[in-house]
Amino acid sequence: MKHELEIKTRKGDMDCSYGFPITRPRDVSLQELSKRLAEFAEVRGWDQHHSPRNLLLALVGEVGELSEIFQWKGEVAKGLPNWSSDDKERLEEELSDVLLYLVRLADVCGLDLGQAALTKLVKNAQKYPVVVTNNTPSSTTMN
Amino acid sequence: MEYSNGFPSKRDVSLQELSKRLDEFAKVKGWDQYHSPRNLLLALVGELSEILQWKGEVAKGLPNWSSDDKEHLEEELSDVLLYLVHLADVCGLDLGQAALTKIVKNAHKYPVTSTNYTNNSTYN
Repeated sequence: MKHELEIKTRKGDMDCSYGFPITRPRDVSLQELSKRLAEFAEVRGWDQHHSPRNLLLALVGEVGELSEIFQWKGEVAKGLPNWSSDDKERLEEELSDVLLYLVRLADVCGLDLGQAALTKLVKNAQKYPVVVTNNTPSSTTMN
Repeated sequence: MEYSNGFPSKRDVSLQELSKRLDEFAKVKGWDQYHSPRNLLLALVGELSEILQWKGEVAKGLPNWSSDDKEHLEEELSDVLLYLVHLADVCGLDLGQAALTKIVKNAHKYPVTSTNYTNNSTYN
């Protein structure tokens, strides 16, 4: 199993470049992440601990770590100008941790997160129709 | 609402697709100006606060949950995901690629050991 996992991991690495120009990262699907996380937990015997509330609390903890990165930076401009490579890399890791726990949480609840997100986007588009005079996101009434 | 537990999903969904649709959404509604990294982070934190509140311990697959409660949870988790994807975007980061990288790092950090097998009742 360990050997097979290593092979699969390396294949995952190869997938990062196969079929795409090096400068263009390939798209990543939620189902792929979901599958890899399920396998990860299973081969390590962690499944027994992955209850919904355990995963939610782990997720909240990771959001805390994500918040720490922004905590003392004051306002931050889009694209993070003047951030060091190390800070950006740490941010990528914390964002990833939040995503991975979120994907896993949806899975153990038996929900299709990708489909749910598409559904929510459609609902949001209907809830907040485009209005010419609308210029603040906090508006609770629409003309 | 059709749930995926035990059923094939309608179709797979990619992070780039969500990213593109969120970007369009924010632009056509003139919300781009408010979507700074810290604003989006705080919005994400707000969405987290009510998930599974007052439920007590919850079993996998949410047995005995009503369709309405499941739908509500799907919406809450979706909101967290959408804010997360958009936050990564406005920071100029590739969240999908970063997630794959993190999975590989985690596999190295937590290698499979023979001890794991004895704890895993499903392992043959």
